[in-house]
Amino acid sequence: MAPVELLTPTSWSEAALLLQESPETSAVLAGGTDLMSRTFMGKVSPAPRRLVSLRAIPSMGTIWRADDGSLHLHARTTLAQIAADPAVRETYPALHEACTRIGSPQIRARATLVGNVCSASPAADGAVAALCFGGTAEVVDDHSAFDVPLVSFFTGPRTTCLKPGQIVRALRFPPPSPRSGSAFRRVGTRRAMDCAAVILAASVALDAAGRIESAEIALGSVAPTPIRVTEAETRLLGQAPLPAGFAEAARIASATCDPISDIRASAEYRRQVVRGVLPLVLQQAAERAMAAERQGS
Amino acid sequence: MATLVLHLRINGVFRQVPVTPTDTLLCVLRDRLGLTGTKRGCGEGECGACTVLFNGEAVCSCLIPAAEAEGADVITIEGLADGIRLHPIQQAFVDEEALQCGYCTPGMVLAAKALLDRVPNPTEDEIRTALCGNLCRCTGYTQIVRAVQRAAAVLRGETLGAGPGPVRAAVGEPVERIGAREKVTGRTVFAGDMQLPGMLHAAVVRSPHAHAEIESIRTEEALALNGVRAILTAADLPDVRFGLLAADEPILAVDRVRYVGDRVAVVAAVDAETALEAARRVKVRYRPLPAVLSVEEAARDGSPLVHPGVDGFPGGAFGMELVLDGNRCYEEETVDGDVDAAFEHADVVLDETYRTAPQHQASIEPHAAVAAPRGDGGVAIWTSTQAPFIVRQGVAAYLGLPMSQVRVVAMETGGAFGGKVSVFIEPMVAALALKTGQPVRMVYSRQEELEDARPRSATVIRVRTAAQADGTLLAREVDFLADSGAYADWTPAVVNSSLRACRGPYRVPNLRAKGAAVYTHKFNTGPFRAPGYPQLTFALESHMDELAAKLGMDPMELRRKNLLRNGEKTFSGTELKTDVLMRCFDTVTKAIADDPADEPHTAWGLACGEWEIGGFPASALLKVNEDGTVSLSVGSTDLTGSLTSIAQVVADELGIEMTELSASCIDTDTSPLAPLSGGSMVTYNMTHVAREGAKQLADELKKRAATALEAKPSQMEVSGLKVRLKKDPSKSVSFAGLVANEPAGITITTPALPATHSFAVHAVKVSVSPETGEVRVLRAISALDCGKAINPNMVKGQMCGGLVQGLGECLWEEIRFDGEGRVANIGFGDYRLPTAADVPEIECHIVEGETSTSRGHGCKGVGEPAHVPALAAAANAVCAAIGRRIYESPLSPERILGA
Repeated sequence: MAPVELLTPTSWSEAALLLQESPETSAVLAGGTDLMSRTFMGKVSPAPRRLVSLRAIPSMGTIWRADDGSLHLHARTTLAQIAADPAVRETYPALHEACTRIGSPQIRARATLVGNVCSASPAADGAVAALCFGGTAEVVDDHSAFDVPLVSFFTGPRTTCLKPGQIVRALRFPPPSPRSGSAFRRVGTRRAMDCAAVILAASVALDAAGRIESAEIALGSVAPTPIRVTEAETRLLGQAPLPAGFAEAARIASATCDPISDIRASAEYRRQVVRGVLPLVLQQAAERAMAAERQGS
Repeated sequence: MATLVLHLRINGVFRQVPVTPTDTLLCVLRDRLGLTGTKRGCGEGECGACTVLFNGEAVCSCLIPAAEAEGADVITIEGLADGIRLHPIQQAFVDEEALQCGYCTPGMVLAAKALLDRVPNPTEDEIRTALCGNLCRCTGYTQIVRAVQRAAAVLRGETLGAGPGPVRAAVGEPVERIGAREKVTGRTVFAGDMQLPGMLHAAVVRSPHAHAEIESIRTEEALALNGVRAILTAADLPDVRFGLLAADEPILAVDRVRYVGDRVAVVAAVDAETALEAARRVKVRYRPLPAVLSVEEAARDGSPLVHPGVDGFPGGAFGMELVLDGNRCYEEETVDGDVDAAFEHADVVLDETYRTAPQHQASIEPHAAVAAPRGDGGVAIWTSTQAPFIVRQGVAAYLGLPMSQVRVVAMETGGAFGGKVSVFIEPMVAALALKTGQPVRMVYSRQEELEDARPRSATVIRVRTAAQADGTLLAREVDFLADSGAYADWTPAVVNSSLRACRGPYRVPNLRAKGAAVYTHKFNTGPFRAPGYPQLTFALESHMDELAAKLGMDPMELRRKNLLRNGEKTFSGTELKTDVLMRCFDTVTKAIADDPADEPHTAWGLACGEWEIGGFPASALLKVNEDGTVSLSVGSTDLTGSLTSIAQVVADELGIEMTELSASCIDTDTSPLAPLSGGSMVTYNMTHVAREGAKQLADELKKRAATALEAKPSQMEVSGLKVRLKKDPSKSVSFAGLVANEPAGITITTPALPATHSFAVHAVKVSVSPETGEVRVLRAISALDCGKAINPNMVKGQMCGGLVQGLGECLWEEIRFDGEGRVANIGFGDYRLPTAADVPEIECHIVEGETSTSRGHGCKGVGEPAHVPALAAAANAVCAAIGRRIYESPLSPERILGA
C-alpha cells in the first residue's frame, strides 16, 4: 500500500518527534527515490504509513566546508549537486564518481547521498564511496545531536544503528591528507541504471617516502552491508604502492568478504571480481595520490 | 481519505489541486489534471516515461509524493509547444523520425530539454548519458541522438540545411510519420489514457503457485470492501478455451493453476487502489502440486503433466489442433536429402547444444484495455493490440457473443513486438463491463507484464553440421526444443517456422530438423519479433564460427563459400534474382576490414539472418471526399509506421500530398478485415492492395474525366487532385467535380501474395573487460535486404531498433525463475533493457534491388529481419574477444568470466 500520511516538519526536533510516534511505520522522506520505488514494488514491509519530509527544515546549505577543512553534505543534498561540485570532484574523486554513476539523471536530481547511505542497501554506491573517506554521520533526535562514524553505522541489510526518531542531518568527511588519492569502480551489466554486482572504492594516502601511510577500502554488494575490509587495508600499510601488494590486498578482501548469490551475480563471481578489480582501483587511487603529491610540491 | 490542496505551477499556470496523501506527482498530472502526455511505464523510476521538468530538472514524476510538489514549477510535455508550433526539440524528433510507438517520447523530449537547457552543445556521449534514464524499446536511440543534436543546433541559432522532411509524398522519400506530431506533444491517446464517465478499474487475483489445485475461492470479504463492484472467477464465465493456435487456455483458471501469476479472479472497483486491495482480500485455497519448470525435464516421460487427462485441444484463432504427447504439445520432423550418408562422408562434424533464456518484449507501455457495455448486450473495447480482429474473435469466443456485438478499436500501441497479439486482458475487462454495466479499465503493472504476458520462449537447440575440409557444408541436423509454458499460445508456430530455417542462409544440401514445443509450469510464451529466429540464429551462427575454427578457416570465408547466391532458392521458396545476400555481406565485411579490432579483448562478430514474409489476402477501402481529397482505411494496426508507408504508396499513385489523404486504422466495425500486424507482413501485403486500390480508383476517375473531356481514359493522368489530359494539362477536371454527383470509392481485396524473403547481415564490435566480463559495444552495423525502401527513415528505424533489441538479448536480458517457479526479476531494475548509454550509433545500410512481387514497389518486410542476426552477431563478437565459446544467452558478465 502507498503511504497514507505525509508530514512536513519545520525543525529537526519536530521531525524526530513525529518519527517516534509510530516508529514501525514511519519513514524519513528526503529525495524519496529509493523509498517510493521500494514501497511501490512492495519491498518495504510493513509499508510506511507516515512519511516525514525534510523539505521544510531550514538548512545551512547543501555542500560546505567547515573551518577545519571538513566537507559537509546536508541530508537533502542531491547526488546531482554533489556530482556537479568541482571541489568534491577534486578532493574526493571516488565520491564524485559514485554520485555520477547512481541511477539516471532523473534519479540523481532527487536522490540524496544521505538517503543512499541511510538506505543501508548493500549495493548503495554512495555509501561505499563514503566509507572510504572516514565519513561521519551527524545524527539528531528530538533533543540532541551526536556523531556516528560510518564504519559503525550499518548493522545489516537495510538496517542501521539509528533508533526510532533519529535522523541523519548531514555527512561529514575529514579533509584528505595532501598525498592522497581515491578511486571508485562499479561492476555490473549496463553502463547506466544498473544496480551493481560489485562496488569498490579505495582511498590511499602516501607518506613522505612514498609508502602507503593509510588505506581505506570499501566494498558494496559483497556482504550484508557496505563494508570496509580492514585486514586488506592493514596489509598495505608501510608498503610501496606496487601491483604485488595490491593483488595481495585484493586476495585478502576477496577471502574476507561475504557475498551472496542473487539475480545479479553469484557469490563466486563477486569474489572473483573483487580479486580482479580491486588491484586496479588501488592502483588508480595510488596514482592519484602521487599526482596530488606532485601538484602539492 | 483526507485530501489536501496542492499549490503548484504547471506549464506556466498556477493550479490548486486536491490530492490525497497517497498520490504521486504522476497521479496528479494524469488522473487529477488529465495531462496524460506524461506516461506510466514502471512506477519505480526505471523507465523515465513519466519524466517531467521539476523546477527545471528532469525527474521521474512517479517517485515524487504529490505533497512534495507544493510550490513547484512543473513542465509537462503538454507545456512545451507554443500553440500548434512545436518546440525545436519536438520538431527535431519529428524530422529525424526519432520516435516510433511514441510512448517514451514525451519523457525523452523532456529529458533532452533538461540537457539542452544546461549544455547547449553536447557531445554524443553527453546526450547518451543524459538520456540513459529514458528507456526506448523501438528506436535503438540512434535517431533520437540525432534529433537532440539537430535540436541543439537549432536552439543555438545555427542555420541548418533543408530538413529531412520533404514535401512530396513520393515513394522512397522520408515522409513524416503519420501521428508524429501527436506523439511529440503527448496528445496521442493510448488505451491506458482513456477515461470514460463512470469508469471502473480492474485488478487480477493471481496464483502464487506454479501448479496447484484450486480448492475454493472466497470473495465475500473482498466484495464487502467499499467501492468494489464485481468479482469474477471462472465459475462466472462460460467454460471456453481459446488461444492463438489452439484453444487450450481459459481466461480465468478453472480448478487448477499452471504458473505463478496465473489468473484466478478479476475485480472491478471504483479506483485502482480499491481494486488491488480487493484482489488481495480474495481468499483462494490451493492444494500445491508438483511442478515442472525445466523444458528438458518436462519433455521426459513421467514428469508432472501440465494438462493431465487431456489428449489434445481443438484449434484456436489459427485453427491448429494439438495432439498431446505427455507435455509435448507440438512435434515435427522434416528430412531433406540423405543426411546420414552426408555425415558419414564428412571431413569434419561439429555437434553442439545452445541455450537461450526467455526474453520479454518489454514494451514501455504495459498491456492496457478499456471495455464499455453497449445497449445491445454487446461490448466495445479500446485496447493496445496488434490483432484487433483476433481480439474480437477471442472476446466473442470467451464470452459467447456474436462478433457483431464485439467492437474492438485498436488504440496506438506503445510498443508491441509480438507481445500484443495474444488475447487475455480484453476478455477480462469485457466480462467485467458486462457484469457491472459500467466501463472498466485495466492496465498491467510492470510486474504483471513480467509474470503474465507472452515473452520469447527459452530454447535448447542442438546443432550438428557436416562439412568438407574445404568448408563446403554437406548436411545438418537440428533438434529444437522450445519452452511453451502453461499454454501453447504461439510456441508450436515458433517451432514450425524455426525448423524451416535451420540451414541458415546457406547452401546445405541435406537437412534433418526436428523440434518440439513443451508445456511447463511457467507463463506461456508467445510471439516476440521474429519468433524463434534470434534463438535459432544464435545457435546456427555460433556454430558457423565454431565450425570455421575446427576447419582452420576464417569464419567470413566459410560463410562466403556457402552463402545463397543469385539463382538459388530460399527456404521461403523464392528464387534469388540478384546476389543480394552477398551484397549485404560484402557491405558489412568491408566495414569490418576498414576498422580491424586490434586492441586487446576487442573483436568483431558477424552473423547472417533471414526471414520469411508471409502473404495474406488483403483489403483496403478508398474513397474520394467531397472536396476531392482521399480517405484510406485499412484493418492493420500501425505498429512500425506501416500506415505511413501504405498512405505514401497511395498518395504517390494518386499524385496527391499526405495532407490530402487521411489514413486510418482500425475499428473492427468499419475497417476491412486484416490479419494481425506482425511478422513484417503489413507493409509488404498492404502496400500491394493499397496501390492496386489507388490504381483502380484513379482508373475510375480517369474514366469519368475522359467522358467529360471527350477523350480516352488512357489519355488521362492524375495530378494535384485533378484528372487532366496528358497532352494538354490545361484541360482537366477536379476530383471534387468528378464525385459531385456520383460518389467514388472502392473496397478492394487482393488474393494472398506468395511469401517473400529477406536477409540481414549484422556485425558488432565489442570490448570485454578481462577482470569482470563486462562488455562494451563499440560499433554495430546492419545491412538489410528490403526490396524497396518505401520510407528509408522508417526502414532505418526498424534496423536500429532491431539491432539494439538483439544487443539486449545477447548481453543483458533474461527472465529468471526461482526454484518455486516465480519470476525472480523485479521490474525493469532486474530486467535490463539497453539504455542510450549502452549502445553505439547503429550504422545502417539499406540494400535495395531484390524486389518482391508486391505491387507496393517490390517492398518486403523489415521489422523481423532487422532483428534476427543481432543476438548472434554480438555473441560471436564477445566469444571472439575472449577466445572462448559461450553456449548460452544472454552472455552475462558472469558467463563470460566463467567461460
